[in-house]
Amino acid sequence: MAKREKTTVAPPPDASFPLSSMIDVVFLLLIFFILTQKPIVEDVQMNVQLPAPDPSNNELPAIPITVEVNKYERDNFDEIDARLAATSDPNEQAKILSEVRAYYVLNGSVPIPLDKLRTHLTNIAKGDADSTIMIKCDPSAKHRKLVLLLDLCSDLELNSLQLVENPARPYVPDPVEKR
Amino acid sequence: MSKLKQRIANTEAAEVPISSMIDIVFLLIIFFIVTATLDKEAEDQAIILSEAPHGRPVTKQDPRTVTINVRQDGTITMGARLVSPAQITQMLEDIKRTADDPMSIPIVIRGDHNAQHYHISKALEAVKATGLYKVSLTGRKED
Repeated sequence: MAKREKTTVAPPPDASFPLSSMIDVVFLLLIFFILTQKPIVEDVQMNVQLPAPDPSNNELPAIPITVEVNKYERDNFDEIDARLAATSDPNEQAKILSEVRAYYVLNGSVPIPLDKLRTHLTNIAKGDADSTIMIKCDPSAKHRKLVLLLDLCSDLELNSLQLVENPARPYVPDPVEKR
Repeated sequence: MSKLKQRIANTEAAEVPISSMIDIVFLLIIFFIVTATLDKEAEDQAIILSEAPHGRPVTKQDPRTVTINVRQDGTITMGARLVSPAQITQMLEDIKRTADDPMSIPIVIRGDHNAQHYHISKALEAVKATGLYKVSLTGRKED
């Protein structure tokens, strides 16, 4: 009788995941997402009121406080120079120079920088926090100046802000940036 | 078995606990994937907001909020689409027709810090034409 062949059972294949390569991939993904994560920037929102579409419905405050945002900035001296050169009237020149470092005009008086405007608006806010501030923004002014003013009003808790058109100022487009 | 061999056999392998580490790593990955995709689609990434250090941070946003982005060159986008002021008015009118309590829909205008006010006012006029009045302008708290 032939000797019965001894059958050998093959050991079961290793049923575990290839962990080490998976960890490599997972770590790569983790590093990718950490690196591409943008820092969280907190947005702030400032409410403004718009005039009603029909001008006759607009309720104007009894004592309007207007703040004009003008376009001049510290760095555009070329334009200021050109305007100074164009006039020979000393009064006109003084007026131009007063605008160089000024950003805002309160109630139609002389242009003042933001810190001075803060002093004035603080007094207004102490008197009556419900005062409506009419903001007239020069169409050529940068948006950041308007946002700075809105931010100032928000800080002083002047919440009634009305953004109105300023038709007196012409729109002068910025020179197109070369890319 | 000698005593020494027995001691060696009893010593556990000095392995790092991989399975719990993988758990943590997966949790981190899921966190980053979720926060990355939440990167709000409505916000135009080409816009750099103006600084507004004192403003009130957005805590609870109305889900109906309509965001209008105004880039530096005056291009207006809503969602991922370039729109004209007339299209803004049209879209807002459509939204007004379908929403309940339409006048309370908040409009958020995100203007680039270097955009001229003229461009912002174009967007504001388009909103004004629909009669919606809950308008706010956006700045950013920090750099």
